[in-house]
Amino acid sequence: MHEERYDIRIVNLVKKFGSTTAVNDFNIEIEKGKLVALLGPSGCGKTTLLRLIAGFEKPTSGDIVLRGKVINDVPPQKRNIGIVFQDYAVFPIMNVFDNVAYGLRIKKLPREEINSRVMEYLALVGLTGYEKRMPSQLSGGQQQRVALARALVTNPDLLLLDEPLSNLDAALRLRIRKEIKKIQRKLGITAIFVTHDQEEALSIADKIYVMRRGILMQGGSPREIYNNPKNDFVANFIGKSNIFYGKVVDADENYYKVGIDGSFFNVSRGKYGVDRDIEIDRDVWVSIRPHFLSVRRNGDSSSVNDNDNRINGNLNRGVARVNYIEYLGSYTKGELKLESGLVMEFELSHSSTEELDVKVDDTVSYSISPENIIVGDTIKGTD
Amino acid sequence: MESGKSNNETKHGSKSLGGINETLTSIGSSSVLSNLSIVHLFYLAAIVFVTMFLVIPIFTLIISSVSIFFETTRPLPPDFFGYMMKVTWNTILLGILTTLITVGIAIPLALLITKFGVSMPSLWIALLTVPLITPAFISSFATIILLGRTGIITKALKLIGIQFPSIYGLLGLVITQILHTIPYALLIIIAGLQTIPRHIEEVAQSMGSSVLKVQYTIVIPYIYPHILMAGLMVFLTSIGDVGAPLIIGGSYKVIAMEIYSNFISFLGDERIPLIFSTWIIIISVVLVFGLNYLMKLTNVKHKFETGIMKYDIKPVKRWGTFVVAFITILFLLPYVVTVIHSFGTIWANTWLPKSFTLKNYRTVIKDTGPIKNTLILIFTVTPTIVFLGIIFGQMFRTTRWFKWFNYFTLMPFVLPGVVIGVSLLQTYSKVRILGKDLVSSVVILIIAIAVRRLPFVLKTIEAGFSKIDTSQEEAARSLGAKDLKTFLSVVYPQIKPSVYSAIIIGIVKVVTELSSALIIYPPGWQNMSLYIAYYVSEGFISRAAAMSIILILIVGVGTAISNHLSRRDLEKYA
Repeated sequence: MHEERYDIRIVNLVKKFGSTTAVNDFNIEIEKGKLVALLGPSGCGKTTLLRLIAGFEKPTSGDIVLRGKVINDVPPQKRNIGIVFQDYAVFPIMNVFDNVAYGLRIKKLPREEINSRVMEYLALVGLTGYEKRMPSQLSGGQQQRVALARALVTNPDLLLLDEPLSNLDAALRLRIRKEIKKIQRKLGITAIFVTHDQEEALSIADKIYVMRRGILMQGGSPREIYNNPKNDFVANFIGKSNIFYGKVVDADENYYKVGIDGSFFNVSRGKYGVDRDIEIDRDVWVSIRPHFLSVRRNGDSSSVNDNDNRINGNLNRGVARVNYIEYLGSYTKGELKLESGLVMEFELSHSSTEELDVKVDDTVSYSISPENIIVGDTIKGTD
Repeated sequence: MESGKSNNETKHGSKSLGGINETLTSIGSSSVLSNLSIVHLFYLAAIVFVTMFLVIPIFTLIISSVSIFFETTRPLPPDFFGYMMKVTWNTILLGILTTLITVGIAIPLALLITKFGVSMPSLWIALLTVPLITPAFISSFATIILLGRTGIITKALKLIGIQFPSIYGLLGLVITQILHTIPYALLIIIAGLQTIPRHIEEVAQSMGSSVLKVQYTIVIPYIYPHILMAGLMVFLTSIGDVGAPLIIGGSYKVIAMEIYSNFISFLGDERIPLIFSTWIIIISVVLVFGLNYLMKLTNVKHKFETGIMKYDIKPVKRWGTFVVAFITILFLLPYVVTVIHSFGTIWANTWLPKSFTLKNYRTVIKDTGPIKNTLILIFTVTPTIVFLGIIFGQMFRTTRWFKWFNYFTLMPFVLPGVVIGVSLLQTYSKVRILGKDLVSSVVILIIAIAVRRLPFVLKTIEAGFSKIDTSQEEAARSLGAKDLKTFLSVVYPQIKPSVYSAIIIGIVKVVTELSSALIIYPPGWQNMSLYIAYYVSEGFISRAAAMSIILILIVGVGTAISNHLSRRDLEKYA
């Protein structure tokens, strides 16, 4: 048998709790040494999937294959999987050293080896000198490091991280996120990271699987997921987006014309989302990222846009009223009400030379390049 | 009215005192000084009650026992210390054996019931907590029926050639105390197991630890504080009890019993109750503070709620159910035997009583005194302690100044009833009210039982209070509500369910009280517990059984009524 390319494969996995299906016919394959994020809103089944992999739940049907072996009936003790929970689950009755040494002692390693391994991993997570501390004397971030060292020290085949950052404050979250990524790279361990935070997933993962109600919505690299969402749910969930529903009313070889409640937009064909043609009259979802709207004070719009001959004529533009505005230092965000009544969020980063200086109720002109609008005909809903 | 008045006065004086008031409130204490109200009068009354009838008597007792040692005119007999050491050792041995066995049984039982999915867990818990609503000495004489010289188990063992040793003495005491204290240990340990987050055990499993190993490397160390607490409760209950030594103790002398027998007997040395009372206070206090220190070291606070780990292992489930059922039946046997006996005529050397009759009940009910007395005690003591419990509960959570007073209110938790009885009688022996000696009126009995049972009620009510954030009251106050109004409209409705539980516990604890009543029953005020003890000591076992069943019924009815009220109340707020 050839060496498995995938460290873990999940094949047609189903998990039912009574009449509810938590995981529905799930298939993913994870390559060795990759960090993969399971991303979805709460209740989407991502934690159940993780618990199935760890062995705390038994699948209703389907297979979990770890390094070429089906492990459906292997108890959690024999799976050699490290796990880090969002509540740290540090043993509060043991000091830091004993916490990390627990798994090694279960494996009955010689004392000297336990000592050196524990010290090595405490150094890895930056907790050298904390060996004798009790968990109650540690901050949340430190406890999470203990949990990480404890999960890694036994040299597991797979590391599972169940929302490990969601109980930490914002600044710490960014730091530990970076550390986890670095440590994972350094050890070359395969890891699955469960999160509901799309930014976290984008930043840390080699590959993201977006889940919703137990079903896989899309899998791919962060870039693919962001730029080529396959449906409106993914488009809405990853990054910020204005999602609309409309119809394709016309098409030529370069553009679709999409109508949304009386507004019409030109959309470039083929560049995004859809890899086949969408027929005229078909219902579609439309995603416009807030930062793709360029907004100018009414009157000085002509200067920039008319120079851009390439898309001249097909550029979506018009005037709108400012509904709401927030100044956020490096950028301004707000809400526009188009002439047709369509409401759209925009985000404008401040270049060094200019800042948008408008107030609520001002009239502005906007433009959106046809290349920056994504359409698709797989409609799943956004909630 | 009153609070309004004092408020006006403060406003008046605020020109000159405003600065001081502000400074005081800004120090962080609640606005006690600037806002005295009727609520504070309640606090004061409650503090005075406990001070007069608990703190002062106990300190008087300690002082007079110390002064005995400095008295030269009448020295203690030369063999006194030898005797004291012997009795102390007996008492501690009884406590240690009871504690080790009870906790040793309770831990696996609690694990099986809460984590290993035995069938009908709530049934076993309910049955195993029956001893909570029965007086301790019922277990003692039930033990005699089962294991005494003519007991049925003794008889059965004899048939297969085993001579069961005499149960009068240490063996009988330990058996009785285990029967009686198992619910405390079981409930505390179950409560402990409910606090272990599932993830802790899952992590241990994923690191290769077997289910059994997880239990003794993670679970049991995790609930160490609860185990210590359970052990402490069992130990103190078993060393403080007089009912069991009275009935089954034989010649095995324990401290509480020596206090009692020397106190009531004309031949006894009246100095012994004082010295021994102080001695047992010292032992208890040292134990409590020692354990408190140990518990602080191991205390675990977990703020996440992930539910507890439940294992689904088929054979453990099946065998676990069997084991739990067997132990439950074993523990309930004495109560079953008591029921049978209450309907029986003579029961000696036979498997069942000779014939069945209602005569015991008729005889027992004919004398309405004890039942009436018990009901009077229920209706006087229970409202008193529930009221005091609410006042203290509110006081301890809102005013930081008096938190230390809780050490006093909780003292009876660790003090044997006989000690409280002796201290009250000794302190108030010369006080007369309305031309009558205080100690010969029923008031002193009501006070004694109230003081002794207050901590149980207080703890229950405090549990209810703990769920209410003080910010709710701050909100009400900022809307202009006065202290009492705030309490009655915002706080009280929320603690109502706990108040009902407190009433239940109050009734149970009043009815089952024996030890302080044994010391101070004013003439004509013998309650049912005393009558049962009297019947047993006189050999009227079946009458004692009938009286016990009536007592359990009274508790049952009281519990049912309170339960009904509290459920109705919960529905209203749900």
